[in-house]
Amino acid sequence: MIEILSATALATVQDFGRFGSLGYGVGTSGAMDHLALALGNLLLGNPEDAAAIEIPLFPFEVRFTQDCAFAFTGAACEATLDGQPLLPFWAAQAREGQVLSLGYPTSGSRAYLCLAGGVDVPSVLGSRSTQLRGEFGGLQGRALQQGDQVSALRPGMSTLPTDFGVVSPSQALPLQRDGLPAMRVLPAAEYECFLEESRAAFWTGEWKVTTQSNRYGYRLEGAPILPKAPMEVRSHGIVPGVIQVPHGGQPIIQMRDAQPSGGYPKFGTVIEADLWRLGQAPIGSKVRFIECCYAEAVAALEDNSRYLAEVSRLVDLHGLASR
Amino acid sequence: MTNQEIRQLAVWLKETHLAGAEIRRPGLHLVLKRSVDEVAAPVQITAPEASTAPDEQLLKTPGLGRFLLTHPQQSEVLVSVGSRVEPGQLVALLQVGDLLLPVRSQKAGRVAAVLTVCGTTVGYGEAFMRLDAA
Repeated sequence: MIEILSATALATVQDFGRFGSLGYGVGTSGAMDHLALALGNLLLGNPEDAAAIEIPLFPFEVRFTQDCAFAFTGAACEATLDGQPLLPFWAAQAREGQVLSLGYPTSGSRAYLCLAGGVDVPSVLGSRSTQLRGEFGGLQGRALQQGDQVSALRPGMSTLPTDFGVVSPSQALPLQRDGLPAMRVLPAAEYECFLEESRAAFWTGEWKVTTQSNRYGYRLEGAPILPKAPMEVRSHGIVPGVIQVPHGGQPIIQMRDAQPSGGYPKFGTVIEADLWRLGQAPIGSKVRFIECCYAEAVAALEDNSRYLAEVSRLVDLHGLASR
Repeated sequence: MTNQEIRQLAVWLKETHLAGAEIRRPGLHLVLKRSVDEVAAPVQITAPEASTAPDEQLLKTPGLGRFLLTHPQQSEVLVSVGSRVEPGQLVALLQVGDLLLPVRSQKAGRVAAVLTVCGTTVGYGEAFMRLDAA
């Protein structure tokens, strides 16, 4: 069990997300950085998709009200457990009464606090993710507040090894273009309806993540993307990653809390395998986009799975060696 | 285990420049250490009978891996020459594949010298840091 000490808003319980309910108008929610969540869980011997606490604002502090193993992944912050420094992407054993403090990130923007066994909140429609719009899932369907108590499914002293870490996904799976973090994008339905020079500018330009960016979507700022002719399209299904272009030409990328439908023309889709990179792009930072095809998008997803499988194998080996 | 097999192990240690090997199984406990002149890490130096400088203490690697003095995501070294070190303090990391394993000091003291370059591959039991009693 942990108690939230910070008054910091917007920390939520998230797993991989709630799939299969888009047809009822229920968005997927889920961690903005699936890889960080999966790695934290692997370090603790949890299922990859166990629920954890996603922390987007710092500093953040929790007190362990009982012994519990935990892992801290995602954004690299100055972290301490009772004043003792803690490395990024690291698993540790906390004792009752210890305080975990996360400072401002030096890279990335969202940290994940994974607990042994996963965060114990009820599963709603097959997921423990917080659905903020619908006010269900997670802890009472809302962001965590000061004084909240959150339980782990496997508290106590860990029988598995703790005190080790893993190389971050940004180093294990780097993707940069001209010095900026990059994401691969598949052109979408209305791609051809935009001016050729706008399309070219999208791939060559740099895009700033504006302050109007959150779990629902990222509004980007750059050279406007203009259509060949004014477009009116009907509302259609959208998923996290879809890049919509409203009037004015400044794109919006749907993120994990995206609503399930929308009516702006779709320019492209950030591929599922790279959404975590965008999830870690801080507000004010710049990113670039790389055009890719469907086969490359599938291959990228396989690269991610292979990386997680390899980490899982090494963690198991380390567990055997530490016995 | 036959003498033949032990001889073969010794050859392999030499070929791979490993400092030593330890094999433990029911009814067998074998420790092989390569002689002092051949290995960069003089393994006997802290043995009580051979201790010529009682104030000098060596920290040794707990296993095989890529030896790191800095976390790959951080810019500062974990400890540097002159740092005060407590028992249990993290002084280095061993990278094995994507895993990072902690190297913690067994002793208290002040870092007198770092003997291994960050990023080199190390074996088991190599001396990588010298502490002065402080």
